Amino acid sequence: MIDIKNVTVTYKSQDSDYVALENINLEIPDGEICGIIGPSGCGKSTLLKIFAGIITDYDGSVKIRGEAVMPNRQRIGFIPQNYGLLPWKNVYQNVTLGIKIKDGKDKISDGDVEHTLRRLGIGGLEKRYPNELSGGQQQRVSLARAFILKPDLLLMDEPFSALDAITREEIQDTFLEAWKEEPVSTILVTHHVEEVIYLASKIVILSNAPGKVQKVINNPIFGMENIRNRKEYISLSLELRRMMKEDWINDRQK
Amino acid sequence: MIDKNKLTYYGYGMIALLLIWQGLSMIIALPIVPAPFDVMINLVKIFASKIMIHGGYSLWRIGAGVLLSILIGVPIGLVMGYFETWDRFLSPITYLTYPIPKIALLPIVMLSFGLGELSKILMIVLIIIFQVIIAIRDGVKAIPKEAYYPLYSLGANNKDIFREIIIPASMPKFLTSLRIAMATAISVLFFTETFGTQYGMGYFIMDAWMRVNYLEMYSGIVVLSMIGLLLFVSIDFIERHMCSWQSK
Repeated sequence: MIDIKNVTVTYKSQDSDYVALENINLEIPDGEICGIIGPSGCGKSTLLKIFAGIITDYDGSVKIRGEAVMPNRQRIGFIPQNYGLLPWKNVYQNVTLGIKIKDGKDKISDGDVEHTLRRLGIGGLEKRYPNELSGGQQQRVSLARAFILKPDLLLMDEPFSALDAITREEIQDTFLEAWKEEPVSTILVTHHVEEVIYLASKIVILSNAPGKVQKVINNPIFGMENIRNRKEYISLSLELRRMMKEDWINDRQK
Repeated sequence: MIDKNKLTYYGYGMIALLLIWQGLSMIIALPIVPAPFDVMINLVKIFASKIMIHGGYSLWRIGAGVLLSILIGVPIGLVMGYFETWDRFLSPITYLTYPIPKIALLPIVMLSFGLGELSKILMIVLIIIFQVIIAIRDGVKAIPKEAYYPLYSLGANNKDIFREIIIPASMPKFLTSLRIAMATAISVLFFTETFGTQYGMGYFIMDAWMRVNYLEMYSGIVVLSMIGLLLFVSIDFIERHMCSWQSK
């Protein structure tokens, strides 16, 4: 369980303080995919960086299985917006980087690597470097690196937003399949309404600057077959859009 | 492992240079510019017996100087690039000492370290270490902070971060700095070898000049240029192997 209590993040600049996140309270049960959606600049990425242990200066408490966030204690897989692959490492080295740092080089199982790469549809690309791969392939490598680590918590920051629509849907499917095989607690940040409905079992809507939790919705159609063709999918995405819009308009009138 | 194509271009380059040289020697028509063919014949004749040992000395001095600069300069550049406090402290020192003409320090270096090998190698170090430090520092600073995030979230320590990110990321800039520094190093080497030694290409060329033996002098210049080529090609070779991720 991931427990977020009264988290407020303030960026201090010379003349004024800017509140990025205000009083966030959330509970995310183990093995859930929590989708956080909100307009650009609402502090989604900031929230994710707190989980990743990149931002440590905040008020309130964030606990993962009862422990404060400490990247050298927990296993945290982090997929940043640009996939976070190191250009000087080939696919194999990139994928195994997490294990190498967490457990040491001798814990890398080549069988595991092969299995994971094949499952994510990038088998045989071990020797390639990131700039020899398409955006979709890079994204798959990034997913492979996160999954092979068997993390306690998987963090994804707009992971699919740079991909074209068809590739995005393919990789979303690949992600879900891999996730179902090993359901890891996941926090997915996105500004894509359809993505959050397709991938998240719990949807959190953040409001605009400062980011506050506006609504938490348990996604009723998560995990159903053929979601994209269902009526509920379309009505839910309309509903979500309506909620988000309301909030933005309220904000602007303030 | 230079590919064939590249080798052909090196060939063209050499032919072009030789043609210009030949033209100049024909126009000037004085012993001070001998024809390239005569120089080549002379070079073949005296290379093993006379020049090789001088070339060996020069190569060793450059090699030792470069290696020492790397051993000292790379760690300094790395910590300056990554740790803000180190940079704040060391940058002013670097900037103040970098512009000092190092040749002006030659007498001091010679007085302190003698006329032998050490002062010659130190001169090379003094010249190229700054380029190494600054290139490495800027290379590290140019790494986008997002590159560190996946490692931070893995709880990586400084050793991991240096090994996995900082060192490989700054490698191309480092090799570029070495390439720029190498040419300077050769000129400095030449200068220092005109003092207090009987070995080295600098000594050989100046000695031939004093003896008005222009054929030998030009043979020496050709060998010095070949040493330069060898060093540049080695850097290219290292780059192709260690930074192969770049070109693809």
